[in-house]
Amino acid sequence: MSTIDETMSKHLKDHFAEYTYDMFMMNMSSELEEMELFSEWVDILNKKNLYTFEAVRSAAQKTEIDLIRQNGDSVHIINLSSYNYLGFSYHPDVIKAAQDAVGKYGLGASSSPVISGTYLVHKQLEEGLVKFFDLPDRGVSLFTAGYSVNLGAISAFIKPGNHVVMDEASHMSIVEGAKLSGGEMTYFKHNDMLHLEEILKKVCDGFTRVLICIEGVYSGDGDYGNVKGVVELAKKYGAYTLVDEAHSALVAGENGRGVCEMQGVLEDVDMYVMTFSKAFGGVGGGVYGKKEIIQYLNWYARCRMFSCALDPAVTGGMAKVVELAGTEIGKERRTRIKSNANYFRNLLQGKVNVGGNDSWVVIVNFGDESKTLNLNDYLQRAGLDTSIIQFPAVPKGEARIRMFVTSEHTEEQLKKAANIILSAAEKFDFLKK
Amino acid sequence: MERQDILKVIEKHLAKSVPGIEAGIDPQKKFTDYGANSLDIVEIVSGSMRELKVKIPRTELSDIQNISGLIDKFEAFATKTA
Repeated sequence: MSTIDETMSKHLKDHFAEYTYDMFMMNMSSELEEMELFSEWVDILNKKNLYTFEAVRSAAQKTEIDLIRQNGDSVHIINLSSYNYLGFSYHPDVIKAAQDAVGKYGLGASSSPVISGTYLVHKQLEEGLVKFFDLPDRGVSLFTAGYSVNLGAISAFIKPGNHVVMDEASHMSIVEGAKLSGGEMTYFKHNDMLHLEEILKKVCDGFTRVLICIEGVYSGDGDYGNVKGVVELAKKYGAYTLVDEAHSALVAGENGRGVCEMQGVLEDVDMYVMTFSKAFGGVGGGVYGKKEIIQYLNWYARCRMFSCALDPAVTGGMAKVVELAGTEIGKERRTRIKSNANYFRNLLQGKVNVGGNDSWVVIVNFGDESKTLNLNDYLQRAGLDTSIIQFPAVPKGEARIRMFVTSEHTEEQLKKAANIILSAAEKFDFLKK
Repeated sequence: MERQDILKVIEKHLAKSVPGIEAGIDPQKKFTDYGANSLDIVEIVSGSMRELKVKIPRTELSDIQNISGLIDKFEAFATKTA
């Protein structure tokens, strides 16, 4: 029997656009009220043809594809919602390498990497990455999700009584890793080195282990982390650093070694986190660092120890991606993604409120989250798929359209996408005044 | 239900989400002033609701300005839930 009363139902129907993600997180009693309410909310959106989420793709994440929405509607879109930054997920050599690996090793790894799930193909990926980053005495620990890397690495590195200091814009996986560690947690204002130093002065006492966690590119804001500034402060106060390069590994820096390379501090970072679902075109993640840290994480990152190893097919494909990223193909694609991002940003600059700096994550702020559902529906039907983010992922009143530019987009596609954004800005009143 | 009792419950849930919080928080402040992020706030509010056995409708929560505002809501809805 439903636990939602008529008043609640009516309120949901009349105000569905004002409901945000956090509102369905609360359970107030033993009843499954929040689940029933959430289900009713999704039904309302589908009936109103506004449910744009979970739309199904029937082909690879290329720059232009067809989507089938939950209500059966089919739309053809320019794809700026997937972070297949260098288009490697569908590169023919990558697909062939994945096919070869599945043929040789079978479908799954069938064991934890520490027990019997480490295959030759995993070692090839690890060695490929070590060669790609080109620093002595370094190793890589592989995980089955980028999320798990932060969860496992932070909770293995930090113990109760230690301290995690995080940028306030840090990804949820960093926050959850810090929580799981049982260490003390402090946030510093986004990219604010003065605030970070103020905190470090208090927490670095020469005895307590302190880990500073930041990102190379902040995907909610589209800007770069101040890795150089953080590394300098970490050295000054004897803290350690974790840099999540989920959105920048293989892409940023002349050789694709991330924002750490771009800012000249690759060697100084203790844990360099990668997510394989972005520019690597696969799934999973890894952490790169000094061998003794990596060896320890292999055993003490519990979500790694107690999970099956990465599947061989994806691992084989990604080993090929790393190889390609180190060749002229990688270089060309890195050049292209940057010029595409600049081209796209210039089409929007001055007309709408464009956030971030010159990264490939292009943010357009539209402010009022109650516009999200209609706006997203409008964009999809006009032929553009984006990744809209709103509260609680960003502060209230700071809802934004997030777009992932890739090296494979054409100028024509980007021009068309920009025109759709500008027509939406006119309709939904977020043109720059 | 006394305001002071409600505050104690809220304080307890704040301390669960943000380690290091000591007793005697200022109700005029916001949760963010104590380092809680938006998802921590959800935990604090829903945890307090469960412990106090008071249901505040979701949409009533959006206009709360500070911790004191939340206590007001608990007081208002305590009677309705009872």
